[in-house]
Amino acid sequence: MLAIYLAMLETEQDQRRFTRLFEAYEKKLYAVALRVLGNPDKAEDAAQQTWLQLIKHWDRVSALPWGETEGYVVTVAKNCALDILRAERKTVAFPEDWDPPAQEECQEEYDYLVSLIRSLPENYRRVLELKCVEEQTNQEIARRLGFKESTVAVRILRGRNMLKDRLEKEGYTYDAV
Amino acid sequence: MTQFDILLRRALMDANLAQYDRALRSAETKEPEFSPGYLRERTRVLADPQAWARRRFGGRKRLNWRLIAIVAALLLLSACGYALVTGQFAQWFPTIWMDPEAPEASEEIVSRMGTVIGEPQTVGDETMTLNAAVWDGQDLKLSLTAEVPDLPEDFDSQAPFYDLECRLIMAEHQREAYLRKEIAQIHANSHIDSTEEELEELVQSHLEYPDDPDFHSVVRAARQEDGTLILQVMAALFDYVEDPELTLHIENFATYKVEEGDDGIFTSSRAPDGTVTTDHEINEPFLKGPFDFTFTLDKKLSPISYAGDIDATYENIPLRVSKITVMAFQVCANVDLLALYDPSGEDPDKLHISLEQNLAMSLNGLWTKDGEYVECIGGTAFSFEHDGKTDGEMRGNPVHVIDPAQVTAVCIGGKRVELSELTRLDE
Repeated sequence: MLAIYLAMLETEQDQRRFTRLFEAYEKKLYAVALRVLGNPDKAEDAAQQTWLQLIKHWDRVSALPWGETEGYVVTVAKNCALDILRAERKTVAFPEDWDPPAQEECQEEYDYLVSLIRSLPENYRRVLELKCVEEQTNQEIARRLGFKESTVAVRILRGRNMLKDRLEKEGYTYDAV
Repeated sequence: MTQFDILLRRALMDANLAQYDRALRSAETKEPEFSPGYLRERTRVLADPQAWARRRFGGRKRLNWRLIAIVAALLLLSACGYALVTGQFAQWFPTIWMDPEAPEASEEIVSRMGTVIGEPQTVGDETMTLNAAVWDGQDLKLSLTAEVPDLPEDFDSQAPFYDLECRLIMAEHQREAYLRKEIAQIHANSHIDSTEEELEELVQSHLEYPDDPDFHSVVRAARQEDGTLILQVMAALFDYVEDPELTLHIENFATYKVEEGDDGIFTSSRAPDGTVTTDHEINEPFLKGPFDFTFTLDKKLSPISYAGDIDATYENIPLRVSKITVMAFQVCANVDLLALYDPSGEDPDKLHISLEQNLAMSLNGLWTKDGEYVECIGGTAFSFEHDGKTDGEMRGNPVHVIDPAQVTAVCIGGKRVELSELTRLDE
């Protein structure tokens, strides 16, 4: 097997798109990293790691509708900041049990899902973000988080089912696409 | 993807936007006080994100992977004793495609751009000899032979190599001149307007980085029948300075550990302080070194460029050829697209070139003075959009080394383009 080199920004159009992304989100992703890390130097490192991730996966990033880019970039920035915390062994063991909030009166289904995710144990939430948003493989996630690949697969399945089951309990159903 | 998964993906992102809403809102009004180091990196990433990321990833050149496969296969064939010719340069450079019907002619062409070095070095129980260098004014190839006592029995020349700690370094007194010309050329090709101050700032920031200029060198190796290793180093070296003086540093040359289900993408990076990080484990280096070979290139076979305006068509895609550059190992045509172009493919009144078409657009072949048609393979094309126009490059690698002065025409999309109808630029 031969090494395959990264496909990165090739055209001037790509470079212009990247510049637009950078100018729109540079301060925001730094602010998120600073919020997570509480240290400006480390937040700068996390910011640079975020841009590296975005360039590394440019084929996916460049295909995003502009309306999704902020959420995507913020998610990547948060996870890069958490990587730094993990490398410094400053992560706290998050509780595995979950006490989901009840749906509030007049709360739309989608908003309820967002509030469920915010209350989800971080270990599940992070794995779901890396899988569903950053589209990493189970192997990449395992390597990044220091888990076994089987653990990653189980967390993805459990996290997803926890959310889906809770929504279905409130009366929402989903068609397979 | 199910309906729920689509919803979940969006909700995961929105959950983060909600969680960090206060930080995001304050970022809109508050100016962060970035450090000087961050601001320097910022200049670099905005000027050339690809080069910046490449540097952070370890300076991997985006080489044509099909050529790398061919190089590895040729190395293996040579190591197994299937040498096509017996000339000295042919023996040192099994990765250079010689004409099997005229091996002496190919040897003569290569010798005109070859510098014989023949310098041996010993470190511990490893001995390495830098045999020679071959340079066509754009691509540099180096040949080395190594005696390595502990080479694993199952050493595989097709394995993914870790060569981050092997690099080519230009002499300090030539770095600045080289970088200035390189940056000027990149900006001239990019159609991006930059002020003189911005370009100067870019030059100074590159000078601060000891690994610049980055020649994107790649090292490959194969075991020979006598148990020694033959190595080939390939690098992108332009003729921006006369008689470039270079040092080849080889250290900790190894292979990556490959695991089942691996995605085949191996990345490694070296931080400015020299710290190396990789995303895959590395096997024990089979060549530890360190070796440092310093040499000067005083021979090259310069490219010949031609300019003009010739219309051609590639699979119904109308093009105008504005420049053709002929090198010993590659032919390149600069082309303009003669149609309104929509990269997204959404506008039915505009041309859309699919990624597959883009990748397939290459120079098909060339003709020489003696009437020979030489097929070209493994080319790539790039398109650049600016000011409503689209231009790009088509490339092809001849199946054997050529003398640029002997080329009379190239084949683009099946059409013969005569170089005599263009203006030779060095005359």
